[in-house]
Amino acid sequence: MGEETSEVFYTVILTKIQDEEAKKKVAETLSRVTTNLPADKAFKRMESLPWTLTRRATARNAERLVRVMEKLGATVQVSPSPSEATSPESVGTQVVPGTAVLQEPQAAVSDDLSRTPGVPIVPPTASSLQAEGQPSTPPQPPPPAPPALNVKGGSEPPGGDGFSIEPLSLGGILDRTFQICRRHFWKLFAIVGIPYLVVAALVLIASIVAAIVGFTLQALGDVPIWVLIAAAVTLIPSIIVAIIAMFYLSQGALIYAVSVVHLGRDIRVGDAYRFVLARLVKFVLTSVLLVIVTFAALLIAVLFGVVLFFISREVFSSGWWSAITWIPLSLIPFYASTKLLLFDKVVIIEDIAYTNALKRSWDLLTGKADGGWPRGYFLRLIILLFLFGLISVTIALVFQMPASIIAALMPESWIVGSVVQQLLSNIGGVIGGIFGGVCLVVFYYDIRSRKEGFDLKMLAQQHE
Amino acid sequence: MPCQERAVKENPQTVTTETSDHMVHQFHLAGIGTRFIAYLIDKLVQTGMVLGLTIITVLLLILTGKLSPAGECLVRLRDSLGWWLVAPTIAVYELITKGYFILFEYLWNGSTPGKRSQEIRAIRKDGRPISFVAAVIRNILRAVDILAEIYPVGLVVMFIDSRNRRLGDLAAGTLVVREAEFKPPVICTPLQEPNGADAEILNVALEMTMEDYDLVRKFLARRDSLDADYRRDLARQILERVSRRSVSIGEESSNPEAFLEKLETLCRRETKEI
Repeated sequence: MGEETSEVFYTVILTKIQDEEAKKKVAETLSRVTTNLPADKAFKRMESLPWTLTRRATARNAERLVRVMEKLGATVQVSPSPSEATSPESVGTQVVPGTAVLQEPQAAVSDDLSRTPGVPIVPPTASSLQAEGQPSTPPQPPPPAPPALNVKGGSEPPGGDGFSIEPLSLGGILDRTFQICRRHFWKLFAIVGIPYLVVAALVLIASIVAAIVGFTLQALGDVPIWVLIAAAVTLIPSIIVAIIAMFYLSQGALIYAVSVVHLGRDIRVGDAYRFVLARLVKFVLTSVLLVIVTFAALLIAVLFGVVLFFISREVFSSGWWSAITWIPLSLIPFYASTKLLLFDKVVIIEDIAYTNALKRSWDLLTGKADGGWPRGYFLRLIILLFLFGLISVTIALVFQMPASIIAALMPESWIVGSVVQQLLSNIGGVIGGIFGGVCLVVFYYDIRSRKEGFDLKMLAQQHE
Repeated sequence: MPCQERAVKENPQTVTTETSDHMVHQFHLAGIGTRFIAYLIDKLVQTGMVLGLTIITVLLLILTGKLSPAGECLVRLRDSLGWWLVAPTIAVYELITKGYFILFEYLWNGSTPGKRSQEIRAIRKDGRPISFVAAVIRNILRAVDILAEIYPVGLVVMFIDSRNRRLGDLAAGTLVVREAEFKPPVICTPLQEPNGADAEILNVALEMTMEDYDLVRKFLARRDSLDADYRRDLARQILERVSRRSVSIGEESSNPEAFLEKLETLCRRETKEI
């Protein structure tokens, strides 16, 4: 704003304080109106006066500071700041509410000073200011409370762990992902690990039962064929469906849990599973729809490829020239499936299912973000997936290294080695899965904050 | 020190340091993800530099007609040294990769091209700029943190450490922090300048709390990137929230954004701070 940049600023220097009592009051007042200057520090600092309180006070605020300090028993000296120091551009800052920047140590004095109890606002008479030709400002009603003077510089949108849910950079999304994983590691691990545990338990029970009954693979030949068919038709599909449903349940519970902790609330494993149970059918059916859409996209690519084959055979005598189009054509199903990747978040968090969920995911990943590269939401997702891939490799390596060392240390018992390797590999897979799940939920909220002002909406509702 | 303690408790990603002359500084720790991206960018720069140097050398050899003698020399070297050639190769590679980090961090005040792109830098844990010795220690230990050009050990240590430090940081007593904490906020220029006659708007502005003002300012700064429907709804919702504490705003609600612009400008003018 031109008005602000052309304004004259003043330097306010604390030169003398009457007594210890006054010093204490001044210290308390300064502590109250600054961001990170505790009273004891201010008190200590006053042992070596003069102290330049600010070099960037506006005329009105310099007057207020003078009045307040004089009232508290301190003597202050006011002089116009040198022009090169007063230009906001020269220090790369602008003076706006809540972000006052002082040249001297860490002080950001606010208008709260004018509303300090027992400190009335009086008409200005400071001779030093009038000498500079500044018009006297008439008494005004107390201004509204300025924005927060805390470290964050304002009221933050609700986010967990002192983290904001404002739009994030790609690095910020990964940072937030690591932070959520670190804070809620065991809960998230339990959520994702439950299906694995159940499957392992089922296998163990089946093995024990088979051992007790004396059932072996050779014994299968003695079982009547109709029993085997009945088992194949009923039991095996049921187990497969149950296991798939369990994994969907765990995936949905992870999305819900991350969503809850990302927005700053706490979550219990049971609550997450209970919440997702109600939406499980929608989730599974929408996933089936996604598979169908992806296959349709693949089919379109194949059809295009066949058509191009015949066209190139007619044009170039050999149809294999169309092979150069195969890579671009293969991008069609890849593009379609990636654009629909956020469907699970939509189903679980927004309770929108089937084609609407797919359309919503497509819409969310369409458009461009403000800020630095990459701007396109789709490209952001691709890069995020690439980074996630690298981190997954790193996580896998973390678990493969000890497994390989154990296997190398026990060459004679290869069974133990391979079991340990398999176990650690599965744990690595679970942790990689947690990381990927968290990362995509954070990304989903980031898009919503950017496109829909989700964080602002939360903020608007927060204090109503 | 209530302020300092509160800050640390509220946001564990913040580190507060105090100098001998009682200057208190707060730093926001760089996250693991940001550091990972910075490292990848540095690797890209390194690869580009090595590739560029190789291409230039080969071009020079071609231009001077010494490509074949140089090739023969390399073959002779390989034949005479055998596997021992691996050692100096690794040494040169390590010198380039570690030297890159040491040199940049020392000369650029804890920053490297990758770190600079992500607006982070390494500092000593007491807040002072990184020293040469600290830069050497933290980058030599990078060899332990990194295996196969990724961070398996470093990742685990950073994940466990509450201050996102890898082994090199722990040994050298350094932290990686975000810089450029202050960014000038976008200040809106209202289409219609409010004047003293807008008593109703002034009333609403005077009733605004700090959260209200912050919300209005953020909305105005980001509104152009919002989808049209959400932008309209959000403006109306914010206006409803702000005006709820004050008098009825009647016809102003027909254009919530213009009203919010006036509110922001008035509030800013009325609360101009020292």
